[in-house]
Amino acid sequence: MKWTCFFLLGAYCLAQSLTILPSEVQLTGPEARQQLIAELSEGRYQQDSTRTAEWRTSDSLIATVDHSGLLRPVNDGETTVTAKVNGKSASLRVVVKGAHDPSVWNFRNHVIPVLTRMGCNQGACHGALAGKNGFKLTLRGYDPDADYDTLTRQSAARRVSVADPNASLILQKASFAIPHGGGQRFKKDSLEFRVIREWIAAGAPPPAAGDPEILGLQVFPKVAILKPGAEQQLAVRAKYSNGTYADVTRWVKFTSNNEGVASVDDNGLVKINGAGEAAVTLWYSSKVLYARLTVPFDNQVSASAYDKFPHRNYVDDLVLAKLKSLNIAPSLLASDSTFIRRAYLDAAGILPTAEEVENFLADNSPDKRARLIESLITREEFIDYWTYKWSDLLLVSSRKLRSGQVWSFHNWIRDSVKVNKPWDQFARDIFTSAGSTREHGALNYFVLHKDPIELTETTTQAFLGQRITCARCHNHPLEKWTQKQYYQMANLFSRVGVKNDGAETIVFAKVSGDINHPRLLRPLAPTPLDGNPLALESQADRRLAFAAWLTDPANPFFARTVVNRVWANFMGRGLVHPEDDVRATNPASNEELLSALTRDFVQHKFDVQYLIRTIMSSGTYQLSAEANATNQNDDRFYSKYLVKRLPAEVVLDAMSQVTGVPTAFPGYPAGTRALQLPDSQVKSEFLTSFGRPARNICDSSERSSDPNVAQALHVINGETLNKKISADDGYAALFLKLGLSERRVVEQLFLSAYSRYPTDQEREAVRAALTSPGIRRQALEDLMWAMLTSKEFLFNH
Amino acid sequence: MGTLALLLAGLAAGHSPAAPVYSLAWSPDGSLLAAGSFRQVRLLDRRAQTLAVLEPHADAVRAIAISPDGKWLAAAGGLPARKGEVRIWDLSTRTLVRTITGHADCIYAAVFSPDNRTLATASYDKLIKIWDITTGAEVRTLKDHIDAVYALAFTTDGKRLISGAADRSVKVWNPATGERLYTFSDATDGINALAVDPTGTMVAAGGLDKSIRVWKLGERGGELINTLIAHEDAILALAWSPDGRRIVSSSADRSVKLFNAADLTELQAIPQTDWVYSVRFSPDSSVFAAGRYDGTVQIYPSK
Repeated sequence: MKWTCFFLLGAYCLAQSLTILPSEVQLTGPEARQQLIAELSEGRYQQDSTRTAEWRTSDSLIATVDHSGLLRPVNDGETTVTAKVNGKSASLRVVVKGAHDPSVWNFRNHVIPVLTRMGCNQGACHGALAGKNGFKLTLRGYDPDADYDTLTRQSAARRVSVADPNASLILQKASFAIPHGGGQRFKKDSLEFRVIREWIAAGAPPPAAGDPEILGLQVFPKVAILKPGAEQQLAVRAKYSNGTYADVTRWVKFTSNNEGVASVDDNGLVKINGAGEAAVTLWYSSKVLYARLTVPFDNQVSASAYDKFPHRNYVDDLVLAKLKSLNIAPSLLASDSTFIRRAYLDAAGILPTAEEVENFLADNSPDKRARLIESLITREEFIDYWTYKWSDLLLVSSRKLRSGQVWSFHNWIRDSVKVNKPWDQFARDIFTSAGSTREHGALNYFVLHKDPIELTETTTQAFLGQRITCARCHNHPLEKWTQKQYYQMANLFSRVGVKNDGAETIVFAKVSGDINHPRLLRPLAPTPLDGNPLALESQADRRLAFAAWLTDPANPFFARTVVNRVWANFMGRGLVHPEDDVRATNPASNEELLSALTRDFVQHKFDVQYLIRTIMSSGTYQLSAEANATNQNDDRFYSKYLVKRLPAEVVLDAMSQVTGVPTAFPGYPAGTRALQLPDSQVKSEFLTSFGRPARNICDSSERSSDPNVAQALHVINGETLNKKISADDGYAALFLKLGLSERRVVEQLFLSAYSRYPTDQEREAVRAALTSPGIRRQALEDLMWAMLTSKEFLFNH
Repeated sequence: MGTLALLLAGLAAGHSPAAPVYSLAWSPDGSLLAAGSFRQVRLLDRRAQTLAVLEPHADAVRAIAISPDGKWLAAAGGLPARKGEVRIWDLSTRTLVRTITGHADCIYAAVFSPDNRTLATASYDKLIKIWDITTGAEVRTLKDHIDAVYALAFTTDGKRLISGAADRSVKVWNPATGERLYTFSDATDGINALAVDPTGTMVAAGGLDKSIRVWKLGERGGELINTLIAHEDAILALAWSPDGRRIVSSSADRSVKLFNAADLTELQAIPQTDWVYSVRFSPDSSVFAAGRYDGTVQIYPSK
């Protein structure tokens, strides 16, 4: 009996443990402080006990800690901080240095962060392009030197009075001692007021070249598994070039990427609102980071639900781990009918023929799905589909290219896909070639994008998934990219020469030419994002250095970006969403999976076909789209296949395929499919209304799958579909001419449009009409119309 | 660069660190230079000796004017975002004659009319006010600017008052009636400074667009006759030499430049250690004084 109780207790009373974060703390200088976090763990859950913990220091003459876990220095030395919660305790050694050193607030590292945190320099206030009420700061403090002059000198020093600091307008207005359009930004007894007042009283020292430079951020806790309704305080620490750390929690800008799961206040206190996963992103002085908070759903998922998960490769391990952490049960394996249709559409943009479906369904071999994937990858249509996809990415169109250039660009992409050119080689071809754009189709990239600005923005978006356009005019307000980095990057493309030589266009590397930084009015050393600078005076082709950096296996963005794009193609949503926005503050819904896929892709020498095979072979890709009780709302953890509307070109081609009537595109040979068109400018209202991208800007949102009235009109009474259905040389007419039985006609239709046999109910519903003499053709056309306008047809599922 | 005539350091002794020199004015006979600082005006002789300190004032003295007859010194300023204040001092006795309080914000420019009867002031409150010197009464308010007014100048005949503002405009007024006669809208950013030539037929303006523009003044309109991108940052102050030959400018690019007034040819660029808020030619045009943010005044030969 005793043993039984003990066993039960062991099972239900999970052991608790307490941890203090950060795990080591050094307070440097009299103003140093550190918000400590007491994190109680029980089973897989964490609980923030910072506010309920009993905090003590072993020597309060060295440092003090208040009831909220805020640690402050008193004298130099060492002490131990202890937190106690529920009888559990944890301790932390604290070193205090320079507690009595003179302290001067630094303009760059203290005053600007205060102004930023208080919103003074945000876009709606004095950070607006025109400023507010004559007072203009740089947006979120991107130019401390300019802000310094503005604050201390502009308008005859009206805002800062060194002679009488308390009278300074910046303090009077922000503390609302006198009327201020922006209201009270801080109180007179706040640290923020004191920082600015003491900085002014110290003579308002300017930003200096030797100021400690911020190197990065740390957040505590970085990850946590929490329960609905829980609260979690975050603490953020900045690391500086002089080796010191500073708690910057109160000056960080916090944002939740999923308010339904977690919201966060200005002080970094997170409130859990619901189940799922949220990233709380942190921005401080152009450095970014995020904390990941996981809140398992309140589902009862039996172990067998996970056991049924079709485990095929590491993708499934990592998806399953995520689903388990969230208490989500995966859907069941999709049927063979569903799989063959899905695979054809996702990999090659076509439907399987009725015959291919019948053969596949009749095949009983266990490896038939694997063989199907292999056969798809070798098809011409596979080449067409991926050529089209990369043509979208590289904006191949006759908008800016001549017809010959469109073809040479297209042919280069197609040849690359055909030989499965590794992705790094594909990119290198663009940035390392020179000569005629007719011979080197990739060079048309430089005909499309002629200036360093366009090249910088398109290249970073296409190959790195980074949107850095904001940094053209100022530091990115929510990201890490600075204006300086932008123009360092842009200068890599300032020596691309394009000239016309008769009918030929020649791209070549110039030996001179720079782009100036607009504020510094001088060129900066060409430097890839977070990369090493090139010598400004070197005459080597800067593109070569860029290409080497871009395709370096260690580049954190290059492989990750294309892996995410390919994943999104098959799974309906990128692990990072949107698929071309892989910025540091937009975390993946399953980071471990995206990292593993990226690593695997790099290890396999950027082999896109290998990546496609890995994804398609996974049990995850082969799950049914049908939800269970636990995963109805899951749209990001891949517990089921995400239903998606077919792309415009695929819809049109599929209609042509099922009706046996191709669409005619003026200037292209009969039988050319929409996915074989090299140029997005080919006129087609159908394609336009279904969201074909214009290929004007490199942005995945250019392609739309949103419904609209034009689409409805196209399918209800538009010529495109109706002419195909009623064509005398189409399949509807042919079936009757061949004298196929009513049963076989219906089967053919269902197999070719839905990749499945009709159900008995469906057969029965159409039988009478299809067997009535006189109306058979009409009935067949109506059936075809009903099927081709149905959701089952227009969607991949 | 030329010889330095004088260097006056630590104008605002007693304030630590030194308060900026916001404003300068020469007496008509050139014997005295008045420098506006934090809550005080310091009167200096040509050897840089302090003759007197006029105080107190509400806050920084952002504008100084000495009447053409040499009798009055107007020190203008006030509290930013709260009020404007002008103190009129009798220069011979160095005593305070009266304090004028007006405007809803501090004053950035003050000029006496050539007939010594009125004083015009311009403020961050977007208004220009004309005051009767003898009574301190407000004569009228000129209202047309839509942003802070930073600069004012009378033509030598007193028939025109010209204003420059953060709204990018230069406006020409009839001070006798308060009528706005016309507006120059050529500048592409806010105006900080104005200077009128001694004949009263031309006005120069400079500001955030880094350019000096010179217009010819007509009866009912004017004409832009010269433009020069003169500096690498905002122009802060301008002066036109009384002999008509030179224009001097100071800029946030931390330089002072001397130009040939007729064609804006740059004659000299003098690097500065800090912002120069005020430049003023001596009445004989032989030198000009520059008052800096760091509390110093420097006097340069004007070539």
